[in-house]
Amino acid sequence: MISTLIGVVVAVVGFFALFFGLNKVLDLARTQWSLFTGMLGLGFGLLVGAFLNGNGVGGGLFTIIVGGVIGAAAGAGLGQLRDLPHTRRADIADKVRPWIFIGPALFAVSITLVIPTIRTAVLALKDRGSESWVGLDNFKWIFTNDDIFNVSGVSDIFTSRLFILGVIGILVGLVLARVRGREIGVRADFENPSTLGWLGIGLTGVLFAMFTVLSGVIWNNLWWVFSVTVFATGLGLFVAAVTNRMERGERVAKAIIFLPMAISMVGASVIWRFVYNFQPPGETQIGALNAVMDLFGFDPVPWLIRLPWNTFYLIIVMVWIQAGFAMVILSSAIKAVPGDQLEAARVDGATDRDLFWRVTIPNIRSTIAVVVTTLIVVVMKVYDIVKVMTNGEFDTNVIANEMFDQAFRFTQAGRGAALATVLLLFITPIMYINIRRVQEEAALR
Amino acid sequence: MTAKTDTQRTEEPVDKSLGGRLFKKLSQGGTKVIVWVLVVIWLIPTLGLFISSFRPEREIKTTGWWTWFQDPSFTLENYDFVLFGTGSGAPGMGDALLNSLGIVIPATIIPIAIAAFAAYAFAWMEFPGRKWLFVLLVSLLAVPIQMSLIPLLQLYVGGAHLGILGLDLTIFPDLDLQGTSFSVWATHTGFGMPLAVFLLTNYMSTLPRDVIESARIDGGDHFTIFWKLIVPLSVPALAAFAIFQFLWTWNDYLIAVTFVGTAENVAPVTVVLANVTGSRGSDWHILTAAAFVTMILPLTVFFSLQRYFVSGLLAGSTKG
Repeated sequence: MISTLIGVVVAVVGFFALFFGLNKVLDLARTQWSLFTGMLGLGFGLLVGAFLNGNGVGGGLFTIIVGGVIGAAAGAGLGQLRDLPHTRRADIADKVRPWIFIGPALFAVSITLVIPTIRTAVLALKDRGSESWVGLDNFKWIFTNDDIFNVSGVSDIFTSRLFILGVIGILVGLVLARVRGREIGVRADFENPSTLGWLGIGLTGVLFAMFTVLSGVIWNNLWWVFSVTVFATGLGLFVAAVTNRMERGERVAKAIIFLPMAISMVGASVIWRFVYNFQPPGETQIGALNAVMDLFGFDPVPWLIRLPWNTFYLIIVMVWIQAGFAMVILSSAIKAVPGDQLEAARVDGATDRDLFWRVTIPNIRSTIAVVVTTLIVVVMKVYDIVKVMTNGEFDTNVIANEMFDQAFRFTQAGRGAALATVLLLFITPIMYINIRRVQEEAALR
Repeated sequence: MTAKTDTQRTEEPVDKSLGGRLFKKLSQGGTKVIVWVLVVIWLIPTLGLFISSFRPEREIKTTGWWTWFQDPSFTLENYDFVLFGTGSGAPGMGDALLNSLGIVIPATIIPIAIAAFAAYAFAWMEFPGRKWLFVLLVSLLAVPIQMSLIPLLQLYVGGAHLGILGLDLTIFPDLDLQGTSFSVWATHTGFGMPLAVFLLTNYMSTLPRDVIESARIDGGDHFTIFWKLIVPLSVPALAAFAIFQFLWTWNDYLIAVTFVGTAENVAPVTVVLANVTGSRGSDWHILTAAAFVTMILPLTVFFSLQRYFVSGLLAGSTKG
């Protein structure tokens, strides 16, 4: 601990000293030109010395210092030989300064994100030891491995009860949209709660039918992404809309819904393992959920190992964590809806329900999009919850856990890299949307 | 359904009767009741863990935690064992807490410093490529960490080498960094950078232009303006990111387990807790106390500085 702290202090002080020093060196360009070029030479010489030391020449510190001295002398000499007019020197200082400011940040992301991402994409095309090229074999392995991508049960989807209920829901929604649309003189009205409700329930039913029937890591991941996005956003929106209008208890209610955001996913997993705890029938249940089952006279359920819904019980943990995030963001967006729009609609005789669906929702649409895209990015790479609660067993595995196992437990660097690349490909559309948004924001500034 | 809402709509302006108002009150009350039910459901899991962590082992394993309300009992033995216990099976949470601090403190301070410099440049300096470099940095926000794990581990274990013209050149020496807390906080520094630069740039670019320009006219160089003007003015954004990064690094499991594994002298609390869950998954007296130990610090920070956290969250998502 002490040594870590000393290391940290040294790192922080060293970083600031380096930054300060570089700025001072740049100031020299204006005043003492040959000293400036000498300092540049020193830095370059030190780097060359270190490189030579690491590549066969050896000699340790001696080589590095010699490199620095030679560089400094050469730099100063060059500076003496070729002086520049004062304005050009000031110009150089102004041009270089921004790069000293953003340099450290660019360096940090290059080392930890940019270069590794490119390298992973390359490793995905190589074998397990990263020695020879294997083309797309690793991806072929992913999509032909039954544990990862399995479509064998696809025909069972159409006979499942969920699917049939879902289709009915969608049909009712479409009919409603048409009927409501005719009333207000458009072809179809998709902006009222009953239409959206039926469509939403129907779509969820169809997709859940698909996810419960199809097994494999990739389908599980998609189930996670769909469910957390829909339920966390929906619950967050509901709680935000209701609590914003409460006279009392708004802060308490919001704080409690928001609380899981502060807990690590490992901690949350332990909390929920306790909730899902299973004891054999006849014994006292110490898990809250099975105690409730007991109370109503049902048999206790081994939640985490009962297929296919155990994946969904893990998903609930993530919804529990992320609903608070959605709530906070949406709540502030709802509060920012222009009051005069609401007032105008109220004067026109709109009910509270109309106000919410026809004024508030259209106004916060872009914020909902932000919440949804953020959740997709977060949930796509879910790892901790699955790792701690089931370790990916009982058909609950997800891409990130499979990636970790392949790369670090089975030393299959190629397969691990390919799985990571699949994750990246799933997220690429979201990245595109984010970039567009940032560019629009920048244009507005 | 449609007919009902329609009559409601036409009746609404006239319907000032007691029945109409009562109906409205009830439907509003209904949603409020549902919210409070949700609040209770959201609280129960954490509450159960919290209460259980103070119950004796035998009671935890034989009765539900809710019986505690009728039959209260209290012990600190679980915490004592989890934090300071020795011998086989003791999780050693006390040491893990210190390890976590050793990772979290640098992983919070260093990115703030680096990002603040960069944000100032992006907001107030002119240089070629400013816009697209910013967009590139921000787009890295969405890149999954998984893309970095394999190459970074290779870098920490064996350094970086480049094969050109049959030569194997060492660009970065093998410093055997795996299993050190440096490898973890250095990684966090890079991963936290996109969000930090994004938040701070957005904030700094809203600072009043004339203040900064008059400082420039008075002869202040960029370095002085940054220290004397920008940093003090940006404290809210710096604090928001600090809390963010603190919670994220404290609660991280994936990066820690990849780079330090279970090395006892550096493993942070999340790694230790996950190990205990794997090895002693039904010893709830240990698990509950250990889990709560990992949560105390983030919950304290969270509740005392919630305002900054929320403002950071909002700046991070709604503004961009």
